[in-house]
Amino acid sequence: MTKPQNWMALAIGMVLVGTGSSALADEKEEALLPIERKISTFSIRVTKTGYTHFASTDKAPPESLPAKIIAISARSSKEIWMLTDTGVVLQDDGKELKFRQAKPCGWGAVNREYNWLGTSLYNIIVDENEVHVFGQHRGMNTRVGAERRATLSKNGKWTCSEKGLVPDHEQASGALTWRAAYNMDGDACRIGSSSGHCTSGPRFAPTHIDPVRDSIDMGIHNAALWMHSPDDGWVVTLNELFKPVLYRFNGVAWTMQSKFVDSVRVHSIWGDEQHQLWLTAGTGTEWNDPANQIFRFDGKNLKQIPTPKSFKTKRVHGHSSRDVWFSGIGDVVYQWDGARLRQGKVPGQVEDMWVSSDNVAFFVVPEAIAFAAPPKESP
Amino acid sequence: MLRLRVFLGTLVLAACSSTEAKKPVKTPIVAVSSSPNKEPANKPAAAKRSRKLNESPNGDVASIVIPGNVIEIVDKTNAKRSLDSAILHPPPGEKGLIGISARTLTYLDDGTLVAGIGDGTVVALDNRDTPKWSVGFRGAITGIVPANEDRIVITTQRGVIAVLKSTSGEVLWEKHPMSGGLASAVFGADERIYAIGPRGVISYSLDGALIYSHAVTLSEDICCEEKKGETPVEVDASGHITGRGLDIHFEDPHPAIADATPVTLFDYEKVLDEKVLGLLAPGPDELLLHVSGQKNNEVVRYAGGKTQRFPIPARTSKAERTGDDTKPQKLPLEIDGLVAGPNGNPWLIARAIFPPYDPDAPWQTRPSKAVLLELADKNVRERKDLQAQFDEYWVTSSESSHIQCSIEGSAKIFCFGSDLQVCAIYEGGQHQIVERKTQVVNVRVIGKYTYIVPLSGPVERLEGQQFVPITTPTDPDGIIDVAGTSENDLWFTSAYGYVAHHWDGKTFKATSLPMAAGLGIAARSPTDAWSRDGLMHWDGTRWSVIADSRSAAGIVLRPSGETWVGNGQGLFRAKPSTRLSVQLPAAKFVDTKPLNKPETLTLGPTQTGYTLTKTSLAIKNGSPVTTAKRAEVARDGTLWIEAWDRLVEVDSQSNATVLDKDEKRIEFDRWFYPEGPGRGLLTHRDRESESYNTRDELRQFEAGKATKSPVQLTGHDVVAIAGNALGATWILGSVEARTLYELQRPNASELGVHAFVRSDERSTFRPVLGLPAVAYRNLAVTPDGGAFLIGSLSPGATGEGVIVHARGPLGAKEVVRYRVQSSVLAVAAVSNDEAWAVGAMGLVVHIKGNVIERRTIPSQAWLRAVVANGPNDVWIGGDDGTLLHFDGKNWRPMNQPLGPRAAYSGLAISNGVIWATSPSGIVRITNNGTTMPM
Repeated sequence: MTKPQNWMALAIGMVLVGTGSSALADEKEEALLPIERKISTFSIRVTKTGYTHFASTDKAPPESLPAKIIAISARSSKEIWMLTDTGVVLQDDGKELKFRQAKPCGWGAVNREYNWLGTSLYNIIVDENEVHVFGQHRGMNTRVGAERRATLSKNGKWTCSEKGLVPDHEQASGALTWRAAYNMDGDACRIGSSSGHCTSGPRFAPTHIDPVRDSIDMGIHNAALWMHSPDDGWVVTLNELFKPVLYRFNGVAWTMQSKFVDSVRVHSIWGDEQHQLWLTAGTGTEWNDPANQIFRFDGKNLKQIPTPKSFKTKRVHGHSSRDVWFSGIGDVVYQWDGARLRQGKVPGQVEDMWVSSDNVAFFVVPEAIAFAAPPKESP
Repeated sequence: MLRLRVFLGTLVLAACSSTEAKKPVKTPIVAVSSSPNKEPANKPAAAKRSRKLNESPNGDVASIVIPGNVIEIVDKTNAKRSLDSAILHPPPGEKGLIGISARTLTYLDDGTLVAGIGDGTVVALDNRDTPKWSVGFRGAITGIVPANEDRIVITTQRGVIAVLKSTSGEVLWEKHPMSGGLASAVFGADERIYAIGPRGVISYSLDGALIYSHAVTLSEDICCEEKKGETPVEVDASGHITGRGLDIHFEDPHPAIADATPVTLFDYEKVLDEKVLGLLAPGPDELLLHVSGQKNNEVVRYAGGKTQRFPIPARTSKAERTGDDTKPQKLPLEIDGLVAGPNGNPWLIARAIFPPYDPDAPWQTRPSKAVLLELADKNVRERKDLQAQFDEYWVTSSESSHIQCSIEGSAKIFCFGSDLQVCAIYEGGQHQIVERKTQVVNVRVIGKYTYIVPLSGPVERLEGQQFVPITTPTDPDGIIDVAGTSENDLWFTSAYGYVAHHWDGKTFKATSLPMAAGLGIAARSPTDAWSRDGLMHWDGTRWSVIADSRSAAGIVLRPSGETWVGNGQGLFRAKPSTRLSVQLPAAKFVDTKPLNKPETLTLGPTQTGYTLTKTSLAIKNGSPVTTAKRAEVARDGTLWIEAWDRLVEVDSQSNATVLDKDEKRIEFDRWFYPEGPGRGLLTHRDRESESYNTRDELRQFEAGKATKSPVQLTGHDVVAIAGNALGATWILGSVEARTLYELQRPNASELGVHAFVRSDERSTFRPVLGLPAVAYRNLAVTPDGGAFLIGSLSPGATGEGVIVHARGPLGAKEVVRYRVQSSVLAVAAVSNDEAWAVGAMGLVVHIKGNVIERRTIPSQAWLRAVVANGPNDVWIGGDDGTLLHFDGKNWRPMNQPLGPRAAYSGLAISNGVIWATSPSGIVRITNNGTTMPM
């Protein structure tokens, strides 16, 4: 067994994070225990009568086609919201599907041959009060697209808004939706919401000189975002050396928590009910290399979670510190049950995931939605 | 921008090659500040170094590695070591700032490495990389140059120059002569110090005496970028400066660099509430306004206090085909200006914008053609005759490519085209077309002549049917505009230059501009001229920035002395003000030596005797306020609390009334100030605006309505409004909110009016002159009407902290300046001479008289709020659940209900209740009777 990576705490209280390979892996890898949750599927298909929900036991009409779901978000297991690759917004209660809107605000058409000219809708985020569909608008000469956001309020009305630059991340926690924008100015609403909470994020010092003197690239890139609440949030930001740095927000200011050594890339973060942060990270050099490590940051110490050598992941999301889910590569998903990492299977590669407030984990896989039932409904 | 630079570069070259430009134009001798050099001119400089500044005497070579701006040192054995910002110990400021790093370095003869950091810190390290001393300045350090007698010269990107004692870091003198970055200073062979910035050259003796200042336009990047092939600046023993485009002799006349302090005051009376895009004075009692109406552009005639409106068509009158396969369509019009046509009627110069070749091509590349409209008989119609002459000459939709003609006097010449250009010259109702080889960039009617300014070559004047070149000054930035009142009162200006050249009929006089006059100049007389942007005024002797100015989209100077300014906020009549500014005396530096690490403040046992309650403020017909950013109290105890989405007033029963729902600030600035129940001052900010430093509008709030204040702190964002028990009030601003590129460029407001002050609520606000330029953050007003003003040295806020104490009524009696180890975030005045200030890294500062004590709390949590109820009852709030009380003897922690991570961002005392605000909740603190404030 290789030794766990050591952490070196700096004098200013900052934690320097080092990662090697999958550090805690056994030479002779032992299989993970299976996930003790029932994983089922349903699918959304386009039939003659429109978009329809099919349970795994239902027989779909032969002429129907699977809808391609690109994003999922849920208020609960009874209110699941999905966005298709054609810009259709769907709502599902676990049994039946409601068609809500095609191309909200008239957005959703792009010309891929001409610089993705138009607006491509790419994400759907649901908070307590609103449903936000995020899109990127590009012109012929656009380098960095603009944000277009269609928001559905509880009164059933869509509002359409635009901002200068498309955000790096969007995320909902409870009542608020947050966005971490890729932005060059110091006082723009870098992380905002539908309810007025807004703050400047970490930003370059006014005297910082960008070596390539490029006004757009002087903006901050945020690698990951998780906001618990207006007075507690996390962001992984790329610093002037393009290295990831973890910052925490206390409602007033951002404070650096840790740097990451070498070429570590943070893929995804999520915070649990104990205000601990879960991170997936890796050292791959290609942009699409998956993460191979899990860290948990309790506000002071960063701890690596033991993972097998074969462990590869992209995203993390969860319900509690005893129910943390990771999407794997291929048909694998993982769950941290509070004591150990467990492994399960889904019908294909997970492209998006969400864990609802009533503890149902949803995984978007090709041609289906897999979901892990809450413990009481599992065998 | 690049195109314009190329254009200007071409202009410079062309100007230099023109007939007129070849004649050297002698600048007459004007006011020169001079301390004649008493030393023999050929005395050699004492320090002649054979090694480079980045080479240590022991052979180490240090360099700054990009990206990251880390110092890398390679020793004789080729071993490398790096010094990053953590080792260089920049003083803490904002915790979320990235990229505060090394900018310059120099090895001294004793092996000390002196490094300059982006936050304005100069740190000296011994050969084991241990800091020996560090001292802070305003702006990133751009140069560290050894001079004689163990002195080093420091220059910064904010225009500060200082001389330090290299052994101890003691600041021997420090000056802030101009805005804009100073290049690394030159210690000349004449043993003088030369500081070179975008507005010219300043020379000092080693002990800080000003020898001369010489205004000349240099690059805005001169501080920090050397062009390839540029020779370095050298100064020989006679004071001859060469290199980087300079060739200045000590014997030369030195037009002094203008003081950028705004000393001119005007009162602006708003006459019309219109979005004014242009102004024209067709008669002595009449104004024509080009305005942006609700739907389309309009012409508004304003005469005798009444207005008449004339809609301007949004599209061309005739449909035309824009492509082979397109249907004919009427094209959108871009209205570029309003002029007095040659037939006496108002004309509008415009362009018809054609569809782009690519659907999303940049707007400025869209093909455009000239359109002329005439207002006649209450109708606006196209003038086809001249339009037809311009039909073959296509331009782009870029604003600078519109028809050039004079916006003053009767327009006689209309020039149009880009590479190919023609001018139409009107005489007797007919026009004659003249082709031109060089593009005309401006046309002006001045006195009896019409002048044209070509892209290159001298300015020309129409004499009969001939364009005759006139004597034109040379300017490194290129002349692009001419203005004045007659042929013997002409002003020549460039787009970015800091020098305006005046011709009095005999000679040129170079005058220094506090800021660039990119739109040119409008003159009423040789002793009364304005920059066309409305920001500067010439009084016959010097240009000065107008305090409280209104930026102008159009300006009219009537011979009668009446001045009209139009902009997006309205039409204003400007009159010289009877208001007086407050001139502060020069600030005295209390600390000249580097500061030691502050001692740790010993905290007493937990404070008892108070009840702390987490509070929710009930709102009628609204959700309760449960968290807040800031609380402020009027002198009668009226309490205003800022939640994230509302500003509320709280009565003695903790019931809250919503005052404002529109202002949702990102920052925690002190942007509102209650004066009494339902009334106060506040600033309105358009959240999405990128008009940094001009985005705050001061408003008076009364009876539920906010009205724009007659005074505005121009060029600044407002960071704090505060007052004392007598109603003396200060409004404090900062120039720090800009994009990185803008913050690294010169800003005239750097040395401008940073504050307004009034003696009581019945008085008008007066601009405060002479307040040091720092990154202000907050203030506390003392009982005598003075103030403690706090912040950081550098933008961000970064660098050392600073406390400025302006004593006495209006702060005008004395100004004392204290240095502090880290950014100061909040301050509370206890008396005229006593204050508590708190800040980054747990900083707690106490000033009493002239004695300053600097300490840090054990946790070093950032402290963000302080309030005093007297010398023995002081409260501090900050990060990590920090809430402290001072009882006159000890600082004691409170058991507070918001948890260990809560950040207290505001504190206020109203009617005996202490209110602590936080993003995590609102805490109401009451004395339960067992502990009396001492």
